[in-house]
Amino acid sequence: MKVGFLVNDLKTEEGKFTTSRLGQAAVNRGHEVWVMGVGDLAYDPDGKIRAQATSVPKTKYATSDSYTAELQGQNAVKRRITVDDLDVLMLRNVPSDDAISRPWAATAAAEFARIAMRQGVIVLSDPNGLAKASSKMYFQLFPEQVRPRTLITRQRDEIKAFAREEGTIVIKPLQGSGGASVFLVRENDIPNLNQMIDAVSRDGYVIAQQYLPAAEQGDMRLFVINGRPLRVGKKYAAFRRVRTGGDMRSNIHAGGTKAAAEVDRTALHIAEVVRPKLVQDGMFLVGLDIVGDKLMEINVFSPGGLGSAQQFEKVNFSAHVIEAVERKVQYMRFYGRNFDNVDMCTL
Amino acid sequence: MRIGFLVNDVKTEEAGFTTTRLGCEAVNQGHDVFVMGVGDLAYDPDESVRARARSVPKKKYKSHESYLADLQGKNSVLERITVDELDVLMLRNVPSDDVINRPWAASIGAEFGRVAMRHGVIVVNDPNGLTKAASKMYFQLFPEQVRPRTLITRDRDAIKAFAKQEGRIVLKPLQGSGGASVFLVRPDDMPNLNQMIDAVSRDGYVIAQEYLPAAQEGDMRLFVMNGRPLRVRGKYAAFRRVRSGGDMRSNVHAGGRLAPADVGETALRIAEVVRPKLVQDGMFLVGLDVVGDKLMEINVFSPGGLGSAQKFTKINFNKYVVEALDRKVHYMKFYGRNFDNIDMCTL
Repeated sequence: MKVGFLVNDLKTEEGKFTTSRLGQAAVNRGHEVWVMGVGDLAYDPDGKIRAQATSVPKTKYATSDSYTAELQGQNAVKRRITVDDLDVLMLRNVPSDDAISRPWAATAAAEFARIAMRQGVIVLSDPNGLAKASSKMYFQLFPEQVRPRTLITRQRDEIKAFAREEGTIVIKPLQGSGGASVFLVRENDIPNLNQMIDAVSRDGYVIAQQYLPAAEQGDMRLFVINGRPLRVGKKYAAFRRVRTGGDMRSNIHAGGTKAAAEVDRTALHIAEVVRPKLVQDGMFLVGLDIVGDKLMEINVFSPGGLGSAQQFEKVNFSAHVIEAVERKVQYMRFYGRNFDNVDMCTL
Repeated sequence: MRIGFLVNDVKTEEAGFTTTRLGCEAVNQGHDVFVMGVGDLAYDPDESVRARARSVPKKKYKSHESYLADLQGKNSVLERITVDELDVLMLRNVPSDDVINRPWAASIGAEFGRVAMRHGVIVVNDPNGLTKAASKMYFQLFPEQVRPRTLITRDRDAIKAFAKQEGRIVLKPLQGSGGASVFLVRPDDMPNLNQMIDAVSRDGYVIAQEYLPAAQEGDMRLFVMNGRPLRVRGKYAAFRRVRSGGDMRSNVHAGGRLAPADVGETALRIAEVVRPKLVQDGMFLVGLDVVGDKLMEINVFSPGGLGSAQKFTKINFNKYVVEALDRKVHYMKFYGRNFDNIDMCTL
């Protein structure tokens, strides 16, 4: 099959990124793989989406590092491709990485992909689903029983009342991610609460969330594919992020060590509860961040860490993800346009 | 009915705005009207969306000026309402007005609207439809026969080639609106083309569009409601914007004179061609900008100018828009949750 990976910028991709691992796995399985950045697209006057895309010359790479080095090096193949003619386009850019310096880039992937998919290319995850998930408000559409108690507002007084009621809360911006401006507010932090709210509300609305004591031990990332936990044999694609030092953000970007995860019934129950909404919105590959019996986050944009899961579980999950993509292309060949893109995403 | 209007900011609303006219009309018909800004919303821990909303004393207003004076003045009532319990929420904020100073505000109407509508409030236009229309790329999803030839790219050379091929083109940013950074490129503007492209591409992707000679005479705005041209007693809600001086932007913000419109077969055929997509996306009230036999723009976010249509036709179209909303509320009472919000939007 011909598969495209849309990333933030080809130059800033790294060998350890999940996208690089998926690209390597696809090449090694004999597929034609094209990588393009969110700034490399074009809508042409003939109504087609084209892209300045890059591919690698060889058909086998021992590691995702060597694959990425070749993709970014002088041997890479550059060509203007017709995105509509690909079998699959995987949207693997991280919108929040572009939020500051290229705000226009955050939505470009969904905008262009929506056009391309009219002509038949399968776009993963579904662009209309992703557009609904562009802020953390998306999380509130999942059932309450698997979420922390949450208030979203710009009113200082409402946040203060919520902090008093809950004891300990976390505040963070509704838009953006990566661990910036995330504050833990304990009872004795109340004198600083005004400044914390100011820092967060600079970016718009403030999420104030019940603090989960279990978060002190870190969280678990569990990958969900086609609406079900990604499992190969008895091994789940998952790992734990353990908090280091006093920083309350278990987010890897902000420091933390990784460990093997034990995917128990509680985690599987959570995955089951979120399943209908993920299927409805055409979310192909998703990362659930779980703390105790609650979800902390649902990552639908380019979830990362598949390499960590591979490291701890000794399973090449990347190859299994590509296999799932291959099956969709087969389905399309059998059924043609009988299925909407949003349905095909989780079949 | 209980109807809410979501605007950019209650303080900056003006009497001539279509939203003000609709609000005044709704009050005069005896409905409960609440107006709130995009910064006045809250998602509460009980999962309801609430808002600090303003309403006016119940009386008949002779003019929308006196209604707005009451709404913005001391006579207004400020209270925290539960948005979920409204019958209708009309999203009437203009995202592009907030793009520079409050970028977070641009998507807020859809984000909160999507949560509120789970509990039954009818949200127009449909939040998921509006999310798809967040950039001008939405326009490319309508049939080619009613659009100018278009190229969307960040590639300077591609734009130059398109300009040479077309003779005259218009350049504008994919995101944003209001007539800023819109350039007309004639053959003798080629020496300045680089600078024009720079000015536009600062905001991201560049739309290069075939220039329509008919645009020299201005354009026509035609209102479409529930997927059909808004027509009362044989008269269409429409008006013409006539270009004044040398400015190529017929957009009223950038100068231009208004005149009565003659809605002919060509305009009605265009409205017929765009109808299926508008219905699919739940677009209740839309402004079509027509030049000759082509569409220039489809305005789905808070289309304005209903007052101008009223001035030239002597028909109070506001009355019919509010009545159309009231009918939806009745449908909901009869049918309950049998209909999705997106369907209800154009019924």
